[in-house]
Amino acid sequence: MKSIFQIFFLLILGVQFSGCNQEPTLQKYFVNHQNDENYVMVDLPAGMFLSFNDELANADQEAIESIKKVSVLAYPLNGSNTANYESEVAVLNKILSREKYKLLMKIGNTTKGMRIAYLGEEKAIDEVVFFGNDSDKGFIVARVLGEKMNVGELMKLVGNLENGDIKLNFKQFESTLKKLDEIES
Amino acid sequence: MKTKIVFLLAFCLYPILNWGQANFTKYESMKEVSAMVITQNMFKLLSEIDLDTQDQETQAYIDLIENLKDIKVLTTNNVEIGTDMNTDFNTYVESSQVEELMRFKEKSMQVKFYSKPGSKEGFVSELLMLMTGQEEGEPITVVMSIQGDIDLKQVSKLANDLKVPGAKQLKNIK
Repeated sequence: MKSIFQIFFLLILGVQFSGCNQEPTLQKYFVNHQNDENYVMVDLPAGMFLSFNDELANADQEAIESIKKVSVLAYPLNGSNTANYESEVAVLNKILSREKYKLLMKIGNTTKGMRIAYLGEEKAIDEVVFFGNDSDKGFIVARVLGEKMNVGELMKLVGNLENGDIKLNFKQFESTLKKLDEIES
Repeated sequence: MKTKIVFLLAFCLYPILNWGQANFTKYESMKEVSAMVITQNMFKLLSEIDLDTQDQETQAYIDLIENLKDIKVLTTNNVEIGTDMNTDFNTYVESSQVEELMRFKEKSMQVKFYSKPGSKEGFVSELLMLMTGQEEGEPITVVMSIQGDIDLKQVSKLANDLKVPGAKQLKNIK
């Protein structure tokens, strides 16, 4: 009796694992499309735009260092690539509907909308994903990748940012910003 | 062995217990329906942020948000889907323990509010709204559901901030 249980259990486990491997992930989606001319991909390592004072409190330092990079993949519609738009949006929606993505909020419908989700634990977030789509303009996926990011600590940091204790270093990626502006317009 | 059975049972029962909530989810993915969903995950994260202020009124508002579980607003201009939503809403109202809070008619809109009793007086654990009618000549149906430990005095402010129809009238509930 017990062995039957065990075999059954292992079988289920096996099926689940093999199922997982075949499912597309956001990471794979990014990799598969980074050289596609219909897509625009921007990778920003956190060190590129976050430079800070040495006097910074340890907690703030940790909060800043918990952000590793920001990765953006956009699919601007240019008139000739509308055919794949809907199917790609469906693929991304399917990936983001998986249980491990904890949905924070979503607004809109399938033709125009956005959603925000995260991976990890409440106090230790590994990734925040923003997905926005508009059937007139295209879609954009932005991932904030990090390690044990804590929203409370990060918000405190934003507060300090406003007080001028920390300065964002935008100079180094002005060109990237311009690029993003071009995509938007 | 016993614990296994309990786990198994809990596993099987979980979707059934969740049913009451889930019957609106099918509308979220419809093309003709515009949805706004804010989940418990969001409110949990918000409560992580230290938002304490000196202002009592703001504090009460923060307290409300921190005790929310789930907000869902579904809007459609499609008549057929609107009718379906209407039917599902009424079925839900009949099958669960909700009480009518108020109803009114304004211009060409009919609005109904329902609520589930909450932890103490002036609080509800679920607030439901159904709005049907015409807006700028177009048929419109709106369903709203808010779950959590909701302070009725504060919720109208929130509804106002979220631009939910009927927010003004909510102010009058005591």
